[in-house]
Amino acid sequence: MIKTYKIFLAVILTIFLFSSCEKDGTNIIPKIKAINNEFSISGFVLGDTIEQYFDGVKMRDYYGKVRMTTSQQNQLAFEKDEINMELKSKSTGKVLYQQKFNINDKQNIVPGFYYDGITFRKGYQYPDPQGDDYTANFYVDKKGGSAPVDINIEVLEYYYDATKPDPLIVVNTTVIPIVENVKPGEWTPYVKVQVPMVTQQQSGTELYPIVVVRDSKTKDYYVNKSRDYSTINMEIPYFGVSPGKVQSINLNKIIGADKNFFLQSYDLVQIFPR
Amino acid sequence: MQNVVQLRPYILFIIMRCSFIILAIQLTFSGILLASDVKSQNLDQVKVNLSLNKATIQESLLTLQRKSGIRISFFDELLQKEAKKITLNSSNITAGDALRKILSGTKLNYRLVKDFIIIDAKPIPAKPGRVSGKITDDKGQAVPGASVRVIETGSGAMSAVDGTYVLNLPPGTYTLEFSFISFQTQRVTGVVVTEDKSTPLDIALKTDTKGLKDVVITSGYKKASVAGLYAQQKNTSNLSDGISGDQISATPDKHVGETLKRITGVSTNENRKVVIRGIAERYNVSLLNGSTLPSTDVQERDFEFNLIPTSLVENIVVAKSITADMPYGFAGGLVQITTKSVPESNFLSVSAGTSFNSRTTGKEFLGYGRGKYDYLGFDDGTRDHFPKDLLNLVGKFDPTRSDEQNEIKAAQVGEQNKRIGGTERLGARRFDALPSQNYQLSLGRTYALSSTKERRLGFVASLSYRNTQTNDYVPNMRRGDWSHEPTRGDDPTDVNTGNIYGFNTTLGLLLNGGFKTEKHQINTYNLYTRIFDNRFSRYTGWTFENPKNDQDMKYGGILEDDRPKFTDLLQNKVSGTHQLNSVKIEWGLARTTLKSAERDAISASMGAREIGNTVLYVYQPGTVSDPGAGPLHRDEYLYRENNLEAVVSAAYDFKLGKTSHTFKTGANYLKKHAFYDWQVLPIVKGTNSTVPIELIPIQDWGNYMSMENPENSLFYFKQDYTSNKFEAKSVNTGTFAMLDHKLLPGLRLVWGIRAEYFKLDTLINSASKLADKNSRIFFAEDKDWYFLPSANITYSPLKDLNLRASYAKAAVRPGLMENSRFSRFNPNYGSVVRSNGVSSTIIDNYDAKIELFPGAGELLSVAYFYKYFDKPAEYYRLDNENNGRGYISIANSDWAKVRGWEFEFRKSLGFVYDRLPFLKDVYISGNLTLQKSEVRAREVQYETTPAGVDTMYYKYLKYPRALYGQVPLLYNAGIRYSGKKLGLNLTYNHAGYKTFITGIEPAYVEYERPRSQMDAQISYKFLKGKIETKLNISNLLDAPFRYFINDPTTYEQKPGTENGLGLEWNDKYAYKFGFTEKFEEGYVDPITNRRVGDRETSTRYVGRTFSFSITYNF
Repeated sequence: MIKTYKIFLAVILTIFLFSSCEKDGTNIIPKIKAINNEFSISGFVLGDTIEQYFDGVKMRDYYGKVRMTTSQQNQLAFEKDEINMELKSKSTGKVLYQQKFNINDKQNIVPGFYYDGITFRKGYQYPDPQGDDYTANFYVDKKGGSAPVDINIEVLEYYYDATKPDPLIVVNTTVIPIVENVKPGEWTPYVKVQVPMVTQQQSGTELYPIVVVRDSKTKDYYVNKSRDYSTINMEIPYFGVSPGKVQSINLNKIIGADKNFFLQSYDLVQIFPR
Repeated sequence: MQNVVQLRPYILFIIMRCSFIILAIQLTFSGILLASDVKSQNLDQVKVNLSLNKATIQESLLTLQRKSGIRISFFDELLQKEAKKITLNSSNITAGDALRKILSGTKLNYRLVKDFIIIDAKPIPAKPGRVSGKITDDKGQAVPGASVRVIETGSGAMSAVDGTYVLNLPPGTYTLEFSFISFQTQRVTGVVVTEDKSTPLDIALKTDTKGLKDVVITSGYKKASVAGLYAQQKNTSNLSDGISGDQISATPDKHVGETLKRITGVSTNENRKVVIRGIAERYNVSLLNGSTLPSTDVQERDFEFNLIPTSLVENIVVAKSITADMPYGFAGGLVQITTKSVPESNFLSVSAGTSFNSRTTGKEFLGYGRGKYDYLGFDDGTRDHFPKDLLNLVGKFDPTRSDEQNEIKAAQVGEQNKRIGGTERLGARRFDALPSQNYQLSLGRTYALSSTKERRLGFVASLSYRNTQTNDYVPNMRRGDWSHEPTRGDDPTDVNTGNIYGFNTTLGLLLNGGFKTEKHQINTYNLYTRIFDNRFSRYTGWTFENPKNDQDMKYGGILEDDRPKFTDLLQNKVSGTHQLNSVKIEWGLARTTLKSAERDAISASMGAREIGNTVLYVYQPGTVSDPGAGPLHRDEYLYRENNLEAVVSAAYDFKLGKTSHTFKTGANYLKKHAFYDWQVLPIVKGTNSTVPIELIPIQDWGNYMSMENPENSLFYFKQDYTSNKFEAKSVNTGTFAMLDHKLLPGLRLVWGIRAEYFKLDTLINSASKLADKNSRIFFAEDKDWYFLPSANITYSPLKDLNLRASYAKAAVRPGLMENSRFSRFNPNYGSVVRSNGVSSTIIDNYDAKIELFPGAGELLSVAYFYKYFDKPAEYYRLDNENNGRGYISIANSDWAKVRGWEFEFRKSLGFVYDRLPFLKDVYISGNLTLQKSEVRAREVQYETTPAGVDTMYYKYLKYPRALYGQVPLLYNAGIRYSGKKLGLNLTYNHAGYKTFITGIEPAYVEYERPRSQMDAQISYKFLKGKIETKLNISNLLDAPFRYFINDPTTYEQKPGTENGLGLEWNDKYAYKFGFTEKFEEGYVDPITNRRVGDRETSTRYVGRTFSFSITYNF
């Protein structure tokens, strides 16, 4: 009996000793050695998504305009003296770009890049303006559908009636094509954007030119079949007053939080200024 | 001899069962000595000349062999155990006499086999067995002083004052005769007594209605035993259900909280709080060995049953109807836990066990810093950060001001910080979850002080240890302050999740003892339980105020809450029963102390900051402008409750004609005194502080508390209202008179009245929130005395049939802390829990029940009950601040009505097929409870009169709703096989929808969804039952606990009610098509991308547990 007690006691004591060893555990919040506030990254991604990794841990995806979405994304926290950043192609997993940041560096800047789904380049290349001409090329993202689109200037002749639910009363629309049958997923060649020359049909109206996207086949407005949703924010020339300009317009039909689509457009010339 | 057997069971086994092996070994390996010449096989004819002087047995035998020439064979080891020294000088002694003298007084024997002598161990004489049980009358009352006689031997015994008897008899088959004056003598034949075993035999004596005629009823053992079992089950005067220690041992349950749900009409809230007949824990009273138990939760009135290990429990009985002699009122049930006391036989058992949980063991286990002795259940001092006489800094210290401008100087604050201590223990860390372990040592001893009279003394002692680690996974949390719905209905990542890590060490020490004679019995019950329970909750997600978005709230924050709680429960009780002719006196004195110390409880939150390369989680200190404890604080909560209790009653038996009656009267006194002391120490930084908290691990924050540079320091910002006290005492006194009439054969009426006085004095009642500092609680207790009548009638028209009906009025009193102004955030409710003041609830209980006992251990019953509650107290979610989240509070409603049905059956499968005898040991059982409740709710309205006096009034709601805690459907089913060695048990428990927290409209009412749990057990006994192993699997289906709220998206406003003032919810709203009060998951609206459906407020998975235990009975 005494022997049994001894065994029993020994087992308990062994377990207690073994168990009580683990008192402090391992902290799950890592210790940060330094925070650098001079980190920046910019660029543009098309055709494929770029995945951003830091020290092997995926942090975020980039598609479209690469930018810092919060004010604190300019910070890098160093747990070690060096941070290794990799940009990978989501479709192939291939490392497209790699950069190391050191804790002693004053600034940690990623040079602006352009990735078209095939080639990763430093910056986006575009031609110089030719005289007073407005030239533009367009890229319609495939995510919005594969149907080709037309991009036109539409000059609205309207008057304003505050008593109506929609107070903008359009009485006439003049369509000036910029480019037709734009195939999603490809840049169009640079085309000249005409100066819209329209005269009023009625008195008491105003003219207002907009650039809109329509389905090439059905001629419906491209986004939610709505003119207002299908408008592109780009500059159009005015007769005699505009200097020459080049624009590279990227269009992407995106679904919003409220399940409605909206048209996101970027001018890559502005993203990659010379 | 008994000791030898206990000490060396393996030797016994070898010697008794394998003697031929020993012989072979003797012949082969040990000292086989062959004399060269065998002179004779008749030992008494061989004369020898022996001279032995302090010789060992072995030496003596060798000498004898040499002198006699007789071959003697023995086993060396056997002889070496004998210490006897022999001195024998004789010149003319026979070899037989010499051998007998050498072996006398030893445990050795000799045998003559052909031409040599074999020395072996004496056979162990058979140990006596026992017959024990209880003698009752046909109404279930104990019969003290009854005679039990063994016909074959003439020996006998008398029953003790509680009706129990024990007879020690050699193994055999006997006939026992039970007799007592005015009862028919009863003979039981074929009572088999086996070695070292107790044969249970309870006897129900029948009243001798034929006067003095000598009538002897003779029945077989089995039949008599069955009758005794019947008598216990069916002869209580009130309605009750229970579970025995034997039944508990067939379940995987570790503590009483897990067992209670197996009793008819009983369900538990997260295995801790008991709901009886759908009535919440608040309306149920718990007694441990007949004495009340203190509330273990400071803010809620309940007893956490996980404090009591099932291994210490003899039985649990839940009384559901009231007799006047019950000292405390209840509405649902009276949970009576009885721990083991005087044993019927000696026992010593050691058990050890371990368990693995599918969601815990071997997985990551998070928590704050542990102490060295956590596994032993004691604090090592690392949680001691709450020195006395800390300075209140509110309005007296501002780090942005100079010392000249501050009443309390920076150096004083720095010194105070030093006294409080560093932050080394803070911050979540990773541990490995170890398997649970439990050990128990139990000892029982009984001593018969007289061979002729009943004089027995005994005690039971038990020491148990258990360590359990649990990891409950919460896949969604949308209660209170957490975000109630995803921002985008189609975003599966927009969910709040968490884990609750439980580290529990329980030490239990029980020492019960007693002395009983035919007329007197005195028992003492002593229980000490020490629990270290550390619950660490860690939730990640978005709050109601800051839901997810794609910018600054892309990642959810983290809320951590560490609650290390050390609880000591000590109960000492002395009770006595004395039979003085026709008067039976019962008394009890009990002292119960509960100490609960939550040391260094920490609440911390971390904001998630998405930076360039990572998501930075940083602990957030508070600021001096926070109007409360802020986001980071370390707390101490000390609760102490002392209860003193005394009960005394006297029952007088008398006869009127042929009818027998009992008059019982008595009184009880219960004094409770509670102290609560809390101290909350927020950790803050100055408004303009530049302490780089992102770069400093929280464990090192203490290094920044010296206050040499006050603006850039962290410090403990002690505030007067966060550190305060509560003290209250209550006195509950009652007296009763009760009559028990046994009027006709089979008819019994018990009725009486109870006068009860209750007084609650709140001595200190500090507010723990700044907002409550100037508020006061309206306490509407208008009466101190209540007169509570009760009546129970039982009619047995047939032998095994009972018809019962009862009525009783009961008063349920408020708990000591229920009127405190203390409030605290509960991370698992996502809300603050506070009190609005509670008054007593008066309940009218009506019950009816039919019971049929078709066979041994078999039962079929159906019961109906109706209860009317005047001012029931319920847990409400209130939103007086109109912030959409509200808080949880306890408050009285106007009235409630609860009605329901209960069904129960238990049946052996022996009737199915005679040729399969094992079916007799297979029992199927089940119970079903159906109930419905309605409550008239009321809303308290506060108003200040033009004279500036604060007043309150109630606004009554016209539409009834279900009572808090109500479970409309509850059932248990089980199948059990109990063989001699093998035992199998499968149980299934289902609880339907349960009202978890109520409210004045559906958006605040939280329900628990139906839950089904299946458990299984396999047990096997080895070595004639000395070793018992059990494999338990609990929660086989990994059933989660799921809660929900009927979300406002599931109902719509009725047309024409837009401008209706004072309309209730039912007037204004109706559920949309496809939605009801029950859970409907709903859908995501494709247009709005918002969820339309019931809000799943909390889901919690506890995992499957596989436990293995081994018990050795010495």
